[in-house]
Amino acid sequence: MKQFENNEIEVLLRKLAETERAKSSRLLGEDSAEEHLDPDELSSFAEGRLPAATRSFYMAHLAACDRCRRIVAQLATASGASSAIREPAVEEQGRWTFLAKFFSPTVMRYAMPTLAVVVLAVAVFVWMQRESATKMALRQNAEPATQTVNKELNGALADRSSDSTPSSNNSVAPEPSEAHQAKADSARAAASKETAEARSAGTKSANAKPADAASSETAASTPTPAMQEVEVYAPPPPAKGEPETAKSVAQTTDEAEKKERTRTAPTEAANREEQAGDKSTAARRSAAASAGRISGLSVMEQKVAATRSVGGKNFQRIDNVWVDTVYTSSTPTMNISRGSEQYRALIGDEPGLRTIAEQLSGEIVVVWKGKAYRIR
Amino acid sequence: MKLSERDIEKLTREGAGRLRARADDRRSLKAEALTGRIRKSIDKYLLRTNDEATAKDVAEFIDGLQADDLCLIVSCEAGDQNAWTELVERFSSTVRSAARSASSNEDAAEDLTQSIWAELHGLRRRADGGPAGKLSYYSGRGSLAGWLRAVVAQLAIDEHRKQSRLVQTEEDNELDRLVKDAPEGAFAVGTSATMYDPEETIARNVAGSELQDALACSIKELSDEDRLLVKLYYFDDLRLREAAALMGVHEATASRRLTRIHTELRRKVSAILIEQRGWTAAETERAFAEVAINLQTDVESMLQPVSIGKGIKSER
Repeated sequence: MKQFENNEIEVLLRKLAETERAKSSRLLGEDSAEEHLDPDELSSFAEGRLPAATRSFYMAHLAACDRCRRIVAQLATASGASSAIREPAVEEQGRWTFLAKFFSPTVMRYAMPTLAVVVLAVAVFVWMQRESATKMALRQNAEPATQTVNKELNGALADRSSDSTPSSNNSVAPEPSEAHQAKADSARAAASKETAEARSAGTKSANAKPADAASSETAASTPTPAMQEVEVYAPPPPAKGEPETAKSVAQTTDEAEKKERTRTAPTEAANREEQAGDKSTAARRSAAASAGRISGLSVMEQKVAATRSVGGKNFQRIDNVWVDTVYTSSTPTMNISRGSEQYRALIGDEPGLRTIAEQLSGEIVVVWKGKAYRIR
Repeated sequence: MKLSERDIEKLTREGAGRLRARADDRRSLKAEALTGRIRKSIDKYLLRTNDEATAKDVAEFIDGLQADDLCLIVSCEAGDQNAWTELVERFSSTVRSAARSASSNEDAAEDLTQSIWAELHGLRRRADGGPAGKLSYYSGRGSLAGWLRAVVAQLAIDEHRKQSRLVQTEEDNELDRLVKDAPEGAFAVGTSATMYDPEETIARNVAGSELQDALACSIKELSDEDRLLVKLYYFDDLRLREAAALMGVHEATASRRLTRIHTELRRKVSAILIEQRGWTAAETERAFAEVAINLQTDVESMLQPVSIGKGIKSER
């Protein structure tokens, strides 16, 4: 509608112009008392050479004076000054127009949020890179030390096995600490009652029984070939305030030895078992012997042997339980049994947890996505 | 802060030195020979419209002058024949071309050309013996070629008016006689269809003329810039690009301005017709539509509203 109305005005304007031209052609003979612009003013205006304030001054005259305006129009057309005038105006505005367009509200409305998203994405990427680099560095630092300690432990085991009985020699073979632990875990699982009693007797702190004592107890009840191999993991870290020294380790091992002796069958029975080639007895003895030798391991070696890194998480062996280092007692814990429907559902939904559960045998306490799960 | 006379003179002297240094051919001119011309230009184009011009404004203004053209003209004024010869050689084609454009035939163009050079050189002599021509009116702000074309255009118009005055007088008398002797209704306006209804035709023509009067009044009420744009585009038949260039704006800017002007004119015309002529809004809208259609089909009908109005009662 507006365009149609404007078209009507356009037609009327053109007709009015024709009328005016016809009138002015008849009035050519009349002298106009009106003062006209001189050629210098006309040419300067036509070429756009006048300051802005002066241009406005002459615009008023040109709008009213047909004669001067027509001369200006002719000058502009004939000399091509229109392009010359237009180019400087456009050129001067070009730079600023470009900048103005670049920073116009319309552009900024979309550019700023986009820029913010890009900056955020870059920041997140950099942070993630740093995090992964840090984790890699931690793993790399832990692995060589672990490997070094494992080698020394293996060496120590080899030495111990050479001191034990021939039968035990055959049975005791230097294996990686993880294999030792796996076998000890299976023995422990069969004697879960005794381990539970041992656990209930103390906390997860230094009062926990040494692993070798537990293993020896387990061996006493359920002799297995695994018992001949010493579970060479360090005792659980001492509670707060308690110094973690070899001396305390030795003390616990001594206690384990005493218990071992009290629990073992009479000598005659032991002899009978030994004669029967019962590996468990030999294992007990070797375990007892090893317990005494455990104190020979350095504290660091014991520490490293009792920690594992699985699935990006660090676990400590505490009272026969692999405990996530980030776990705290205040964390709500859900108990899940291996093989249960709940367990299957959990590991089905969380592949990371599955990896941990598969690599760590026995009881595990893992913190996963803000929740603690005790898998046994 | 307004510049003092002393400051302006100092700036003029300094500017004259820079201008002379810029010129490719100084023509043995001294800076003092240019200061007078430069000062006139400053007074005419800068200080007249800007009392608060700064020293920077003055310096920039002087640095924008056409150094070579100004030195040439000043040398011509000083009586340098070499400069005058160069002026004629360089710009004779420009003058001839402008004269041809402003004249109806080749002879008139040649006469006009000769008149131009005579005007430029001047038959009179100044007190110092130099020719008192129109060269002194060149300020150096625009190009010398443009100034010469403007001189030709003005002179051509003056010449045409002189000749037209004699011719028009006879034609007007003849026209008046024809109108007087013509039978009634011989100059009826409107389309061929409306000629069968004289009353309606007359009414339509009256409405059209009132519409155009209102439009003419509305145009006068526009701002100087808007009015100039309308005149350049509609009355002088310039292309929008050329009109925009003269206005110092981009073509798109001029187009947007015209659209706004159309809307404003329609509003003003409607207001004039309703408030001053007693029309109703419906009559106004109908008149716009009908007159526009008629104008598109009959060009000549709108050129004689005055003649028709003589014999009938007009609301004007």
